[in-house]
Amino acid sequence: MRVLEVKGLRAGYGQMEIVSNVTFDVGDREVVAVVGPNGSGKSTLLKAVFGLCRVFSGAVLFKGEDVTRLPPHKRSRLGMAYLPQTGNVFESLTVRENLMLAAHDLGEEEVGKRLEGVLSLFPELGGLMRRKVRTLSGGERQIVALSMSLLRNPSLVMLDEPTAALAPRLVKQALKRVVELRDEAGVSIVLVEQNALSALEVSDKALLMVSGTVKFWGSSRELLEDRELAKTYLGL
Amino acid sequence: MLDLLVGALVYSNLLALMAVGLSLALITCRVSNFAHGDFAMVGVYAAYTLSVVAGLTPYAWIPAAFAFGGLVSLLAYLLVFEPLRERTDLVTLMVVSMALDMVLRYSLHVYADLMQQWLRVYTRLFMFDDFLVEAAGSRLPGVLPASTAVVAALLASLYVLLYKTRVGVAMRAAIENPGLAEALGVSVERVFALSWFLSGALAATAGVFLPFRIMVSPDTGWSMLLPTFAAVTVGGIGSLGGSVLGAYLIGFSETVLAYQLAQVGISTAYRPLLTFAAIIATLLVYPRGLSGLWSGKGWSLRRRS
Repeated sequence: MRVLEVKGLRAGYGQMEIVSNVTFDVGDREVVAVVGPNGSGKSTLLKAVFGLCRVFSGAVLFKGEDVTRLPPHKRSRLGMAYLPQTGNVFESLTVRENLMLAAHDLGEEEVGKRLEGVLSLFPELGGLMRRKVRTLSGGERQIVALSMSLLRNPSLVMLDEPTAALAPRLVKQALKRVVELRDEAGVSIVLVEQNALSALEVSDKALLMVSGTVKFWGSSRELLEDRELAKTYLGL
Repeated sequence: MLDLLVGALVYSNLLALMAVGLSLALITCRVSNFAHGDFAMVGVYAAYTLSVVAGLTPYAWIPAAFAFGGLVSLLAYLLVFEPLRERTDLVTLMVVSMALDMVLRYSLHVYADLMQQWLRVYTRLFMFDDFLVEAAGSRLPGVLPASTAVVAALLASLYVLLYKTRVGVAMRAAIENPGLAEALGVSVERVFALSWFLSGALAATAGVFLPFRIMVSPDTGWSMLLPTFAAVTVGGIGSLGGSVLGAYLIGFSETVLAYQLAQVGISTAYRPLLTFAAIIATLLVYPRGLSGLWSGKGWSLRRRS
């Protein structure tokens, strides 16, 4: 069974359609990169899949269940996780409070177990627990945000430009971490990324979006090898 | 002079509860709730009715007033503000709250008429009988220790709820970034509903103390709005700690100014002038209010813009 299936999705804000007729799917432990020029609707697509913007038509299926009309908090409880590009942590809360919030509907024993798992993935979190998130660096905040998603034990994590706040030298390292996440936490990942080359290198499949529509859907290697598409739309 | 201080402290206590309640509505739905004063009057009439029927002092019915006010506020949120929260702008929400004020106020008038008919008591321009306490050779009205103790207990409980419980962390998170809280499985609607319950409950509790100091009618809540908005503005819009501080500043200044006006033979009808001046001066000079001085630290909840 596919973890995520998106069928003919048309979505946007108010009356404005930003994403038109998008179809793709994500398999178990698969990394799908969503790439494309600025303003092509990549972030809106993730929001639509998670229920954060208006869906005009089409369907979103999570593990075979139609979630198109479910509110985000219910999708989250089913095992979908979404990490926005900005505002993905609560700045006025401490790291511990952020993590506790992510696990707010779990029993204490379960929280402890999952926290242990997250700390084994990101040991640096241990020393940051009492600090307010607003005092952390961009990279540290991304780790907190990612940990919050993982605490919910999701089957699917959707990351909107996770490297946006990072120094260029850290981008590759961060994306490598994303793949490790897939392998160690056993999750499927949808990755929206401005840094197309790095994203395509670590992903299994690629969705190239241009002006809200799908220009390419297939293996990442294929897209990298398509010189025309890569040069025209990704500047590679 | 002692009476002046007592009056100022009691008035400030009421304002503190009203202002914290109003702030809760502001930081959740961003609505400047003009119906907030009516929640106070719901508390007054709930306590009055129960005390007449059961024959106990209105102080005994503070928990019931808390619950009634919270319930009315919760219904206002669920039926009016929640459906509009994401669909409309702030000005529309404010106008909607004005309409709600009229509905609630005139419903209270109807209730006052019915209560007068059924229970044979005055339901407009009435006051509650208070008890007196001996302290340091003076006789003080019971409303002073009662309101001070209730305000201290409620604000301390609210602090514990917000900072020491999981529900509180969820509330603070949903206030700061509702979208992200929702993405993490928090039902923002439920969290905001709780905030609105508390908002109305605090106002209703404040209301119970009002008739111990002044004569009240269903319109009294409306007249409490101006100083409440002033306390919230001076304290820093959206800051709970600031609202408490603003309430004591406005409460004491207003009371002392009214006293001074009376001393020099000027009508105390000019009392609201100071309140208006405080709002305007704050917005012009330092719009972040007192909480701007410690923003980001302590008891300061703000929503991301």
